[in-house]
Amino acid sequence: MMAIQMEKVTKKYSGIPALQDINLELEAGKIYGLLGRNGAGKTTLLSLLNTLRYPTSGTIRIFGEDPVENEHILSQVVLIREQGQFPEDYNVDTIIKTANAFYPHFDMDYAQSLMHTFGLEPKKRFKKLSRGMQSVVGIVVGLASRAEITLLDEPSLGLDVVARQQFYDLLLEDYTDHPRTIVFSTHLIDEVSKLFETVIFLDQGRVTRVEDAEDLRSHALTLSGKREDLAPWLAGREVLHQEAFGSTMVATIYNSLTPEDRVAMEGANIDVSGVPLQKLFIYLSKKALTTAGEQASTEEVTKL
Amino acid sequence: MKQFVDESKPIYQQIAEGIEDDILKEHLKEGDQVPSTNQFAKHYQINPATAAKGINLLVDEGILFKKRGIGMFVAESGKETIKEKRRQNFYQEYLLPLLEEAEKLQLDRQSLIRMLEEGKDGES
Repeated sequence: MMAIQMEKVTKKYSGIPALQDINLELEAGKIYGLLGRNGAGKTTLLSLLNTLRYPTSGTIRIFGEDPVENEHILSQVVLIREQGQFPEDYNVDTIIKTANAFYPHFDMDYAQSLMHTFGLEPKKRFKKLSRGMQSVVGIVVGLASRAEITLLDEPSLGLDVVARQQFYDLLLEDYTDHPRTIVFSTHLIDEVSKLFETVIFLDQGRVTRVEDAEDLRSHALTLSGKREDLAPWLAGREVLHQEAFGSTMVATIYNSLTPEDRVAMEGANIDVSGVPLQKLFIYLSKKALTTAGEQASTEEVTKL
Repeated sequence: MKQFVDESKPIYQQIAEGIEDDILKEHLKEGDQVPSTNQFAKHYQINPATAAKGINLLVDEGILFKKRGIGMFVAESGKETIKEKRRQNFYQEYLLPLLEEAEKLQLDRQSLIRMLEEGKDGES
């Protein structure tokens, strides 16, 4: 059963496209990573799925149904946004109770235990909370809703490294006990990449790649060796990044290598190693920029 | 089993190799139950599907077997199967790099053999 289907979905804001011709099929019960630079369209994509916004054209189906004004479907979709999610003047308790009333699988005991774990005070008003604690409110609602489709848009913003780790542990634990479809967008790619089963790359409003996370790990490889030794191995392969370092050449490719290739490379003194997902993301983004012929400053690219 | 997974190779491979190491070191004996997919997922903070892929790799090779509704266990010939497989890779993975490093350092075969013989009794 497909949890989410998007067909030829385009979203424009005042005529300017934020998403273009998106075709996606997400299976139920998997954790998806949604990766893209600022402005790539991640938030727009997620808000179309819970009908916070409507597509300009194209169709969206959630469990085979049109989600628009469909209470039955929308009560199975929770979206945790970076900001603007909860009424500023509500206290935490009221926010949690409101979520409890809306989501049929909401687990109040679990919500209480999460609040306790993160030290979230129920009587505090939302606007009085620190940025990190505001994120915790989202995390509590996101996890305790146990919604079939859980959309998390930068859920850990403002959390320190200890709290983030705690959140990943809890997410994984609750997911194994209550499997559901999770779409997770984040800038902290390496921290969470191991949680993803599939990774979706979004670039300038378009889906550029959808890959199994383990395939990414086995196909994306960094090769290094003497320039003349390495060159023949790059021909005919997808080279994502290449740089010279003294007499050494380092290249990141996206192709699987046969065991024979590996033996031959070892013989030619070529080192083969894996590529962290975050690095891969940067290479892919840069590559997209070059192919699009955009004049982005290198500074902007490396900031990621 | 090592406590962290890294980016050097696919995670499911690292999970499979970790279980194999535990079987070779007899931390897991024939007939022992191995941790479940979910236990691996929680412990290593990885997606359960990834953990399952690693475990299934060993099931396919006959190193682990599945008892329906109970879990995964080390097969009777599991340890032998791993040894056989790793012996076949031994030259490629261990001797070849050793010979390459020796060549860089201009260590001749005699010195290598002497080191092997001296190291054999636990002395270096």
